[in-house]
Parts: sequence; C-alpha cells; structure tokens
Amino acid sequence: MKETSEQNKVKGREALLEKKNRNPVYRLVGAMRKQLDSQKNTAENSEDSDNINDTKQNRMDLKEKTDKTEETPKNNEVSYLGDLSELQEEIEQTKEEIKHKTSDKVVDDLEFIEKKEVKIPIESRAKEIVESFNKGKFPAFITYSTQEVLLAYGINQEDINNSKPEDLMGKLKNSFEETNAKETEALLGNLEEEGEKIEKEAEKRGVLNYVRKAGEWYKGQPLKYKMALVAGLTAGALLSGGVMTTVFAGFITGQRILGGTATFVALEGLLKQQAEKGGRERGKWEARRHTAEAAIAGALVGGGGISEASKIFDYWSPNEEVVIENIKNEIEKQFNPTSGNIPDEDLVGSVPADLEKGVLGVTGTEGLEEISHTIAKGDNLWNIIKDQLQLEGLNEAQQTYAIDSIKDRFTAMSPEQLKDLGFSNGNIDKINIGDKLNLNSILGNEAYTNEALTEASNLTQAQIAGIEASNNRMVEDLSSPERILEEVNLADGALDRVSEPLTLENSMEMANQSDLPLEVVAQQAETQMQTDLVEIYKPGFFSSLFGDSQVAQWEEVKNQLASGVVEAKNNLDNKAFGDMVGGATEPNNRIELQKYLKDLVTKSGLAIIKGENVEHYIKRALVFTMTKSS
Amino acid sequence: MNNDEIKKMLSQDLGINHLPAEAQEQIITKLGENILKKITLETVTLLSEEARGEFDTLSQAQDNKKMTEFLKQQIPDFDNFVKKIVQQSVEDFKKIQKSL
Repeated sequence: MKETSEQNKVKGREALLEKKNRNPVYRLVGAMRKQLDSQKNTAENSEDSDNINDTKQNRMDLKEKTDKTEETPKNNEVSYLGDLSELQEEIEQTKEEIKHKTSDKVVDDLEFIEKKEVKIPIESRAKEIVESFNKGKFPAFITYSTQEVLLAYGINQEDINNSKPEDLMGKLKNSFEETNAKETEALLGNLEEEGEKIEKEAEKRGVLNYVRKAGEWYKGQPLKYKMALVAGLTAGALLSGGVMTTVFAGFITGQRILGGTATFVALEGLLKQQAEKGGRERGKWEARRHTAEAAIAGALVGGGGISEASKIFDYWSPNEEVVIENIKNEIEKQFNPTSGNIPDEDLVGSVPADLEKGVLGVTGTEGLEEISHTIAKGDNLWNIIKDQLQLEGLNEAQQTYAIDSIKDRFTAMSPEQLKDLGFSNGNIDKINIGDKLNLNSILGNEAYTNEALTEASNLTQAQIAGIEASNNRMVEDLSSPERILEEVNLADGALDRVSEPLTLENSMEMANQSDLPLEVVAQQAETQMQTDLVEIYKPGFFSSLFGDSQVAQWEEVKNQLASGVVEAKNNLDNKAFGDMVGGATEPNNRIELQKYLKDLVTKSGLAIIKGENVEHYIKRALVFTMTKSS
Repeated sequence: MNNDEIKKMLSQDLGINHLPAEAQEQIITKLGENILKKITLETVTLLSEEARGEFDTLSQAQDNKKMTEFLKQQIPDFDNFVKKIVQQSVEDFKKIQKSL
C-alpha cells in the first residue's frame, strides 16, 4: 500500500510537471524533485532507508554532490552519481530553455557558472555588484552569482568565507580594476602589433610613405574627429568610401579637419544604426529626417554654417535617392576649396562645439541647447516634460494630453534605451535623485513635440471633458484611502499626472517629510517586504534561486496589477494572479497575498493607482506607512 | 549626437563598454588608426605609379570631389572595397577581444 501511495504521488507530480513544462524554472525544480523521489523510493526499499528518508537532507545532499561533480566520487557515492547523469541531462535541457526564455543576465550567469571562465558579461556583472554595494545595498542576483564572480576574480574561498561583505566588495573592486587594466593593456598591445604589421606590409609593397602619412594625419585630428571617423567607417553608413575620399583629399598636406562629408556619412550611419538597433527598420520619413539631420551637421562642420545648412531643405524631393544625392552635392560644394567655401579655422572650430550640444534635428539656433535634467527630490518625468514643453495656450486637459503623448515615447523605450538616456533603473517610474537625464532624443525631436502639441490642440470638446472628468476622479480616488480604483477609460496621461506617489521618493513627500533619510526608509521597506513575503510564501522563500516554486509564484504575481489581485473573486483567477506555476501551496498563497494587499491598503491609506503592479504597491505602501509613523 | 554618445555606441559595438572611459577612447582611436592605415595600404597598392601621382596631386589640392571620382574610376565599387576592409578589421579586433 505504501509503495502504491508513493507511486501515485510520483505520478501526480509527473502529471503536474507535464502540465507546467512550459516553465523552464519549474522544469529544473521538477527534475530535481523527480530525482529525489527516485532516491527516496530506492532508500525505502533498501535496508539503509533510515539514513536517507529526510527529503530536506536529500536535497542538500543532492546539491552538495552536484557541486562536486568534478571530484572523484567515493565508493558509497558511485551509484548516486551514476543516477545523476539523467538529472544532469535534464538540467542541461532546462538551461537551454532558460537561455532562450529568460533575460541575458541569467543566461550570462548560467554560461559563466557552466564554463567557469571570466567573460565580459560577468565583468559587467561584477561592476554592477560593486556599484550596487557602493550605493549601500546588494543587488538581487547576489545570492547566486556573487561567489562565482568573486572566485573568478581571484578572491580565494577562505576570504569569501571569513571576510565581511564590504571587505569582499572592496577586494572585488580592486580585482575588477586590475583585470580591466590588464585587458586594456592586452588590447592596446595587440593593436600596436597590428599597426606594426600593417607598416611592414606597406614597406614590402613600397607604399610605406602613404601609410605613415595617413597615420600622422589621423594622430593630428582632435578626438571628436577620430571618433567620427571610426563611427562613419564602422556604422554601415551610406557610403563608407565617402569618409575615405574626404580623408585622402588632404591627408598628404596634413589638412587638419576631417570634413563635412565624412561627418555627414558618419552621423547618417550612426543614426541609422541607432534607429534600427532593436531589429526595427527605419520608416521612410524617419530615414529622410536622419539624412537631413546628418546633412545639417555635415554642412555645419564643413563650414557652411546654419544659414547654408538650412538651404539643404530646398533640395527636398519625393525621391529619397535624389534627396540624398542633392545633400551630398551640397555638402561637397560647401567643402570644395575650389568653390570658395574653404572652411575658416575659427568657424570650423566653433561649429562642432554646437554640434555636440545637440544640433541634430533642428533647423535653427533655438535647438542648440542640450535638453537635460538632473533629478532632484520630488521630480518625476511628468513634471519634467511639462517644464520642457511649450504649453502656453493649452487648457489643462490639452496639456495633459500633450504631456502624456511625450511620456508615451519614453514608455515605449526598452530598459536599455532608458538607461542610455540616464534613467539608472531603466524605468521611468523609478528615477533616482542625481540621475542626469538626456532628453534630446524625445524632447529635442520636433516631430514628436509638434505632433503632441498639434493633436492636443485639436481635441474635441467631448475628449477634453472626458480628460477633465478623469483628472478629477483621480484626485478624489487618491484622497479616498480605502477605495481601489476601477479600470477607467480615459487618457492615460490623466492618471499619470496625478501619479506622483508612483515613486518611493514621492510617497515620502506625501508622508509629510520623514526625519529618516530616503535610503534608510527605502531599505527598511525592502526588508519589511521580504519579511512579509516569507510569511506568505513559507517555507523556503528566498532560500535559493530555483530552490522552491514559492519563488516562481512570487515572480509571476509581482508584476500583475495590484488592483486585479485585490479584486480577484477567486484564487484560480489567472488573469489577476498570472499563470499557475506549480506547487500545492499556490492557491492558498494567492489568498494570503490578497489579504496582505487589502491590509496594506487599509493601513497605509494609499489607493492603488491604475497600472501599478503588486510589488510596486507593496513597496510604496510600506514606505508611506514607515514615514508616517517615524 | 555628441562625442560621448558616439563613443558609447562604438564601445558597445566593440564589446569594450565595461572598460574605463579613458581605455575605451584609447582603444577606439588606435583601432581607427589601424583601419585608416589598412585602407590606405590596400587603396594605394591598387594604384599604378601614374595613378599614384594623380592621387598625390588631388590630395594636395584637397579636392574631395575629384578625389572621389578618381578613386571610383580606379577601384570599382570603392564603397564596398572600404567597407570590407573595415569589417575585417573590426571582426579581427572582436576575435582578439573575445579570446582575452
């Protein structure tokens, strides 16, 4: 009977595994459990079953033995390790799936752990750890990758076991810098050797004087032109040869300036590359705009100045090739000494400085200023956009619409793109004090701002009334602590405009300015959240990366709408809680999480905002509660 | 697009964005120097003695338009010719970079 019961359990688990095999993490956990079940059955059927009838102990043994696969097995481990080969296969398969389905970071870690070698992504990871530590807290991934990173950077196991975290991070930082220095030295050494090889070959072919002149010319260029040259050549530009003809036309005499054509080619290529980074092809209009932008920059560098650059638009034509050809001719004319437009050293010296301020995309001097903003306490993207847009003449609803249209441009960006603009978390709702945002690509883009303002101006009276009503409703909702917002059909901007508390910083502001520093409260809230989650998802939560389906449950639900979870009518509502990821505890955990969220709403007095996810609301409410009570 | 943005893009493409900014600059500029030398080597090699004389003249005159016409006449599909050299140089660099 006992054996039949065990078999049924195994069958049940296998059926569940089969059902959930879409989830690679679950598969990995499932594979380990399957192996444990098998071990347990064997143990129960043997005389020595008393020694290994503890599942928890088994799991620890398994983990320990998996970690020691490279060691010579002891006699009593042979059969156990033999059985592990099947498990190992399963793990490998699962890793492959994870590689295809999860973020690059996890993939990097898996590859790193697998190969035990230092790779670039791991160095980036190490840097993240150091930076995170410097900010006073550990990154989330530290539990499973820190040790590997430390070992890879030459910090020995004894130090890892016996040193304080801050000392370890200091060592890692030093080691990281040393490794970078070595890599730089190696790369430069290699490039130096390559340069020598080229000269030897040139000597052999009898063209050494040309090659040396090219090298001397290049060395004499300012850094910005060197960068532009490399960029133009490597970015897959319209005509790579165009850069080189500009170089050749003058390098023998040591002409100092790279030239307008080269700048045009370089920037056109870069703009194309940047626009198409995500695998997206530029639209025709966008491509033309980029070409024009690059042409303007090229003409400026070439010495024509803004008035000449604006003439390029006279060459506009429905035929893209004609436009490009016209622009090229114009720039070459600007740059051709025989045309009498030889660049004046002073002029050329000053214009690139303007170029660096963000001249691209504008036709007049007003766009020359860089649009940037350094985040201060209380800032949010909505208000930053509001300050930058020319909203005079628009009523409140129209302003809401215009601001939201621009904000949508940021929302559409990937975390990586946002990081490139200075959003350190890659999230527009999680801005940090001190972040320096470069807003040129959106707020400096006339096409975007004009479209937003024009559409706002053309809103119908009904649309305006709808936005105003929504704005008013949002204000009421925020002042009504126990009310969960309903999904309302209104312009998104109306919600965002009053959603300042979406950041932890703003929650604190709402809490009448706590005496505690922001970092302290944020950290306390983080800790409190983890403590609360352990209560909900016990046992084993946060115990290891793939150690328990509890973690997977939280990972699944944390990004769901908080309002959806609170309002869910039953615990099988996957639309509210996300997909079931496995584990007998899941239905009950869903109920516990809902209770917890409802309690938080009551205790904090904070309404859930439309679009706010579970994790965000918990943190915001905890911060708010802590600052109120401090 | 300012200098920092250009550098950032290049560093990402070359896989050296984890290195300190100064190191990135050194590597990019040195790579650029090699690429330029390599293109010059391959270009001038293809020119006859007579053509090299014309090349010198056009370069001294700093006449970009005529230089363009001249090179396109001497080296068919000059754009692609340059592009291939650049691609090869960048690929070689990436191989070395990955091997470290």
